This record gives sequence, C-alpha cells and structure tokens, in this order.
Amino acid sequence: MKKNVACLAVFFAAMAIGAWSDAKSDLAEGIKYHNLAEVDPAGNVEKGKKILGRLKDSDPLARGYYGSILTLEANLCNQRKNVMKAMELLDEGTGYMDEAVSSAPNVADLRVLRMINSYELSGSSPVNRYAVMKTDIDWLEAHRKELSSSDAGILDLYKGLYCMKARKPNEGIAAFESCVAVSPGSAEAKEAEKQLARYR
Amino acid sequence: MKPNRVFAFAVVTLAFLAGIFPAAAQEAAQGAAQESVPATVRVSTVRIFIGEAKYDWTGDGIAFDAASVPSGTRTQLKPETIRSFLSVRPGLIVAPRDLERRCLDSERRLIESGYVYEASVLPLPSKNGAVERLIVVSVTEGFFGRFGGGGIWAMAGKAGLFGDRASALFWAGYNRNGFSVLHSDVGGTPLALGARLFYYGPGDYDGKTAGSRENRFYGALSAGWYLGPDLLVGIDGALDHFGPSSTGLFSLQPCVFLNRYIAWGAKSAWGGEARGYWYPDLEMTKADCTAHARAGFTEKARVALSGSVGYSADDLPTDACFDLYYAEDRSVRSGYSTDELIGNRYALASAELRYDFLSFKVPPAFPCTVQGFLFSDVAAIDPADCGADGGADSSAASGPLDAYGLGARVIFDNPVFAYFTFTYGVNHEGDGRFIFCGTAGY
Repeated sequence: MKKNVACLAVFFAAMAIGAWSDAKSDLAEGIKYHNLAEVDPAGNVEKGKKILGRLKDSDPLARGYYGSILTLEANLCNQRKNVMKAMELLDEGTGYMDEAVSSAPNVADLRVLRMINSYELSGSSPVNRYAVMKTDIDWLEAHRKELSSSDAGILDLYKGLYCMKARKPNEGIAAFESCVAVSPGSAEAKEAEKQLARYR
Repeated sequence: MKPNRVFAFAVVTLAFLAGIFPAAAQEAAQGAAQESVPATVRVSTVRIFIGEAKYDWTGDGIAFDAASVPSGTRTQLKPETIRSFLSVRPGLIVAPRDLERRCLDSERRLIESGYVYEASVLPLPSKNGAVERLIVVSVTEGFFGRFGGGGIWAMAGKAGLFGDRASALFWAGYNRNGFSVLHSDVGGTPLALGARLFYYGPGDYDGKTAGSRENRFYGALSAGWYLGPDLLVGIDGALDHFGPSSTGLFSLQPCVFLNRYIAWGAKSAWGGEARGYWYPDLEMTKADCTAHARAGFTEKARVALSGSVGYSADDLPTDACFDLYYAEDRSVRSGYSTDELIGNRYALASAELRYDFLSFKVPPAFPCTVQGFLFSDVAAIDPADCGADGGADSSAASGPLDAYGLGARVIFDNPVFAYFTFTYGVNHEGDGRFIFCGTAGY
C-alpha cells in the first residue's frame, strides 16, 4: 500500500514538474515572440499573443508580457491608420501590465518591462506614462544590487532618457555614461552611446 | 474713423500688450552687452530630431543627416514645421536663463500644437566653446486627424498637410457647413495664408437670425506674418451675410494676435487680439481688442481673466455692431436680450475660477477632462445709435450689465482637440440664460 502511495506521489510530482516545465517553456516561447515582435511585429504579435494569452491568468510575468505585446500590436494598428483600435489596445495593454506589477511588485523583470514600455508609449502615443516609469526607476534603483549587469545597464539607459525628459541633462548624460560602463558592448550601451552622440 | 487710424489703433494696442517695444529694446541691449558680459550664451546649432531623423539647423540652413535613419525612411513632418514653433535660432545670443525660458516656451508650444505627441527642447553645452549652446529638439509625430462638434454640426479635418504647418477642416450639419484651410509657414517662411467659407444653414444658427436665410454665407481670405512664434500680424478680407439675393457686407480687418507663456504656475499664459474693421461700402470703421490671462495655482485649479474693449465712432448697422450675445468667449452670459448686448462701443471684463474635477478615458482611450467653473462677466455697452437700419432697439439699457453663474467644460485634448462648454448665468435682475458652445474658453 505504502509503495503504491509513494508511486502515486512520484507520478503526481512528475506531472506537476512536467506541467510547470511546460509552462516555463511556453512562457519562454511567448517572451521570444514578444521580443521578436519588437523588431518585426507582423506575425510575431499574433504568435506571442496566443501563447502569452493562455498563461496570463496564472503567471504575472506572462500577464505583463501579454500587456506589452498588446501595446506592440497597438503600434502596428497605428501604422495601419487604425487609430481607434490602437487606442483600445494601449488601454488594455497598459492595464494588464499594471495588474501584473500589482500582483508581483517584487519581480524585477516586470519592473524593467514596464519601465521600457512606459517610456516608449509616452513618446509615441497620447498616453503619458512617465509617472509610472518613474515609479519603476525608483524601485529598480533601490534594488540595483540584485540586478544583472544587463538589467542595470537598461536601468541606466532609461533613467537617462527619463532625466532628459525631466530637463535634467547632466543627470541624464551621467546615466548614459554609467550604462556604457556597466554593460559595455551591449545593445543598451550602444543605444546609450547613440544618446550621448545626440546631445554632444 | 479712417482705415489707417483703425490699423494704427490695432497695432499700437497690441504693441502695448505685447511689450514688443521694451522686449526689442531689451534684446538689443543684451546684444550690445554680450561681447563684454560673459553671462550670455550663443546658440550654435539647433538639432531637431523627428523620431530618429536628425536635422542640424545652423546659420547655413537645415541639413538632414541621412545616416540617422535607414535609407528610404521619411518623416511626415518637415523640420521647417518644427522650426516654426521654436523661439530659439542659430546665432541667438541671450542670457542662459532667457535661453532656458525660450526652450521651455518652445516645448510648450510644440506640445500644445497637436502636431507632436511628445516634445523636449533642451539647451546643452556645445563642444564649440564655453559660451556656445547646442539646442536639442526631440519630437515624436502626433495624430493629425482633427474632430469637433457644436450646435447641430460636426467638424473633421486634418493637420500637418504635406508635412507643413497646414490644416484643412470641414464642417457639415444642420446649421453650419463649410471649410477652412490655413497654412501657417508658407514655403518655410513666417507667411500665413488662409481661406474659409461657411453657410450657416439650412437650419437656424445663433447670431445669424437677422436677414434672409439664403444669405447666411460667410467667406474670408487671410494673410499674416509671424513676427515671432507667438506674435502674428495680419489682415483679413471678409464678406458676411451674402447669398443669392445679397452681395453681403465686406470688411477689411487688420489684426494682431499674441500669446505669451508665464513660467509661474501650471499652464499659465496671457495673450490678446486686436482687430480693426473697415467697411468700405458703409464708409464705417470699428476696432476692438481683447486681452486674457490664465494662471494655474495647481495642476487642476486656475483662474482666467479676460478684458475687451470695442469702439466705433460711427452708427453701425446691426450686422456690423459689436455682439456680446452670441460671440464665443466674449459675451455676457446671462439673460439679457440680444438687443441689449449689441452696440457701437463696449467694455467687457470677465473672470472664471476653473477646476478640473474629473479626468478619465473615453473608449477606446481618448483622454477627457471635465472642468467645472464659476464665472462673472461685467460689461458696459453703448447701444444708443446702433441699429440705424432698425435692427436693434435703441432704447435698450446702457447701464452696467452683469452675469454670475457656473459652467462645465468637456475637454478632449491631444489627439482629438474637441471642446464643449455649457454655462448658465443670471444677472442682478435674476434673468438667466443657458449657453452651449464649442470652445475651451479664453
């Protein structure tokens, strides 16, 4: 009897691990399409939405990425002159992202995602998310020691962009320089160098 | 009053309001002093980014950096359009503090233009020397559709035509139909040209109740020159009340418009408009001038003040009289009759205490603000001889006229730019009036 119970427990544990592993794998797949959609939204938005939409109710990170991919779709709609649909998607997407951060406020990946998204939206749509962006910058700054060098670089880059918007050019330039120093050779460092060239 | 006197009145009044004489003198003094006073800086380059596309504006003109964007990528807006909103230029020599103020004004002007979603105008040290400054202007192109509505009509149109500071708007409805086109930087110069044509029918339209219904056409051609990004001097040729059975009332209208931002408070500004009218057929003239100011105590609470005066030495016919009944943002908002609020001469003071008490999104996600306000209007009008054609009641009251009341505005700002204002006010005799108009107030 004990042997059967043990076998059953192992079976369920294996099932759970398998399901968890599948979910993680799906999430990674969804994030992959999200990141591809940032460069080329056509096709990738739909694929990412499908996977992340399935996971969004059970995983805050998936929910955050789902919200973000909706805002990418909004950009696509805007390019196709479908402004009403774009506005609808922006509203929905930012809503999902805010919900995700509320439910998991200590997940750095979500903070980074929302910080980037808030900046991009504030500059390219009527939606102003600078206040939200500042919240995430402050949170990430307070947890800088726990960040990877890549995330620290991204934080510096977006902190610089925020400071420029806030008319604090000296702080902005210092943040761009910090980005280059913290994460040399990375995409964010290249962007920071581009920003530095812009202001010199 | 002769036409040249009307024009002189308009220009001198606005010059006084604008303080352009002292400002010009101050700038000249700064220019003279700059060589010896190190506290001044010189703008070497204005760098304009439209999205990622980079343009350097120097003394030699505007140069596009083709390497800044992938080959074939084009922005909708031309850099000259962005330039037209700036109060900085290469070669400008000013005190650093003045430069900062000019950059802030430029930023506000760009954002309020509706041509961009986002704008930043930053003065930065230049590698050319300690007193040189690089101005970095970054904008993201906005939404160029324009919509609006009012008493039984709707408006739609487009701004940013051909990448220029140009718009075409169209009205259609029960009591207002027509179009307006305006180009505010013709050929990349400060020249502004415009035309508009309206038919205020087939239904009744407030302010056009006199005369035959088929003669409710209005047309105008405008030409102006921007002396600065916030100061426009121009002249309109307008033909009102024309139609199949009337050649209408023609007037030439020299005019000056001014706007000035105030650094203090939230969204504070002041400005004015002066306009002269010469009716060659009637051999009559009139002129009026309006000044207004808005000061924001907080992001939500502000006070707005407006003062207007109008004068004519002639006995104007009703159609040419000053109208304080129907005119939007320049009326006595209580229960006086039309006859009591038209005249040859007037003075009007108005105040509003405004509070944005609700901000929300209208589906799909258009930002909307509901503003409540208390208002008071006080006017003196001289209707004595107005209505020589029998249109106005010469026995109408000429004592001080007043209005006290409350109102609400529904404000759709960027990207829609549609405004709806509702007011109800009473005078000291208790007579009230409800008004609905399609403006955001003075």
